[in-house]
Amino acid sequence: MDTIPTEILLHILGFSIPYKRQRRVRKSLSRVCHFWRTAIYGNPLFWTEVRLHRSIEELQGLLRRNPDGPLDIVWAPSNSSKFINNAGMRKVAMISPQSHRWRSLVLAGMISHEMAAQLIDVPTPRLINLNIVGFYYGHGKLAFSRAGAALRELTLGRIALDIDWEGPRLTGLRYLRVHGPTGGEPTVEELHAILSSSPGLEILDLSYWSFMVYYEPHVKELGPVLLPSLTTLAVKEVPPRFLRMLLSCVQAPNCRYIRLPTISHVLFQDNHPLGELGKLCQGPLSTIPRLLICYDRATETCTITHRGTDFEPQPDTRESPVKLAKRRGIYLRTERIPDPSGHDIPQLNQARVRIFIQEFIQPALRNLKIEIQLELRNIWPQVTSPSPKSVVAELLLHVPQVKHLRICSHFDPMEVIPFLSVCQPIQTGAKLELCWLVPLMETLTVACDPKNQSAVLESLNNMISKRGSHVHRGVTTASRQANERGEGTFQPPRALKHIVVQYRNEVPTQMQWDSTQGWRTC
Amino acid sequence: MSAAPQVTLESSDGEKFKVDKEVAERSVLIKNMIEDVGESDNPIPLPNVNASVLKKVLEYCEHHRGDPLPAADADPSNDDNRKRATEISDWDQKFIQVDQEMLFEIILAANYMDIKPLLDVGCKTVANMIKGKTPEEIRKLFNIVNDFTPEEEAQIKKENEWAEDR
Repeated sequence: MDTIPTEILLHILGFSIPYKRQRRVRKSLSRVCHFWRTAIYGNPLFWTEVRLHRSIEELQGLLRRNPDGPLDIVWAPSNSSKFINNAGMRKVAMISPQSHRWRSLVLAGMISHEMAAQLIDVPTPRLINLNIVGFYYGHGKLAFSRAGAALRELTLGRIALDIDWEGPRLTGLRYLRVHGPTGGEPTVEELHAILSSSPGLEILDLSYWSFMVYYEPHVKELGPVLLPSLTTLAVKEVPPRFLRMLLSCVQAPNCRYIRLPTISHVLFQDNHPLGELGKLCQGPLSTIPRLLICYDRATETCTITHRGTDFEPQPDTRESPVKLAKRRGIYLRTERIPDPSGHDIPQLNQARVRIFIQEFIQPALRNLKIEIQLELRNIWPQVTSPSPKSVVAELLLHVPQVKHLRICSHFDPMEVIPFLSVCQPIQTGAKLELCWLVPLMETLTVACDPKNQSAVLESLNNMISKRGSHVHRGVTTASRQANERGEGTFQPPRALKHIVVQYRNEVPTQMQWDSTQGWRTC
Repeated sequence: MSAAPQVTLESSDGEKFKVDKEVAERSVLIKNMIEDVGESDNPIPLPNVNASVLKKVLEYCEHHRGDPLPAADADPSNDDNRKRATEISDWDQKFIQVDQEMLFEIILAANYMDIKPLLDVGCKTVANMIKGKTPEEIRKLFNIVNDFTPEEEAQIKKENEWAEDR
């Protein structure tokens, strides 16, 4: 490493020093040795990030080291409701005349009219990253220069920005995030044109657009758009005409994260634009490796969600491997089904949940080779609904890919385990056959009250004695027979290997399958 | 069907490698040499690359023979390239899993032979090794001598990088 030429060290440092949060990394790397320090201090590429909430001396020093290279302007105070002060405005006045060399502009704090006039309404011929999520408290629409380089990244919050959706600056985008465009949204055709001209698009995140309108003018058929690099598709509160265009036109074979709008009853209506949800299941959804279905008996709601992580589409060079894995790894989020009648009454919801299972979950998911965790919850233990068993049975019957079954706190395990202990008649083609429920189950986790623990364990033992041998020798189920006949679409059965019984945070009782000793408690 | 045209490359230690011209031309240096000299049976000498490194480099070129060539302006100062610092394809990651000495030899060879994608893979790998480490850890990892005097170190610790002009 000591002997490499400066040009190679600079190349390596170019990948090491991000253009965001540059100072911290630069400071650390310049302390390695004289060679590194000289390379870093002598190269303007490592002195591009202008943070407006830092000192004026810092800005002066940076402009001295980087007199004519690209600049990345950031107004992101720790408190996003902070207003810029007089010193801040002096810094704005210093950099505004140099807008011709700005590479990126990020405004995440409060934006005054005066500030906007000097930062947004200026010529930006080299700007490729525009990110305005801060609150603008001036009046009227802000203008964004129509002339200049095509943007790679566009992120807009609720800001009235007059942007030319048809213009050449919105071609070749990598990230497009638009949340509540109060300055006017693009038309469906314009959005389609933007996507068509951005084959390298990685993130498409559209949220909180104009209020849902169910009856909309007919939109002409638009052609397919292949987005092979798209990893994230998020659409929430976007008018159906946009959603319909996205679902029917976009082909995203590598999409790994999808956030859908609320799945409402209208999705099931054939004549509704969103009745095309099935297309999503054949397209982007089919690439999703894993998903979680939660049923809550207290509210009688059923949700499909990603597992344990919130939406983090922002790529960041400082992203930890864990964060990266979370962003890329798991990935479907839809939201709870609203009550069509507007009354959030569990008993009424139960019927809808069954419709949801029968009309969405079963047809949409049954042929997908997808790993599913099913969680049975009861968030309000004091509320009891009259007959949860039928819903549980429905889920266990119609979601055959469940690999991990979790019975969470306050959901009585005795309402579920008996279902797992007996064969159920299942319609396979024209025939009705007896099958074990959840044939692919590998893990069963049961949360139970210590008072009931012995009864639960007895019930589990009963389940194992009835089902265990079938499970471990391979389940003789309709799905296996169908597979053998070459007609099946299910994955081969897996063995149940692990049972965990736990109450809150107490040490769990675990039972593990051992091929020589059978089931043993560990 | 006629066979693909081939060229012979000669490493610094005299070993000869016969490869498809298309593969060899992943190197801008070789491409320019062929264009300048014209097609010839004489081996193309690569005095800065030994046989073991050249073998690795050619393995890379062979795997990526059909890939589009990079744009001339694709350098690390480019916004997008920097963002993708940690992103290396699966095959490339496996390919570059070599000891540190070989890693730097490959980087030097890629730089000399002007194979930008390979140079990027090597440099990204080193950048990933650096990521999140303290200066001391970096020195230890790459066996870099700390050539700051104690006084300089003390000065650096309390420095204001903006005030200093060097």
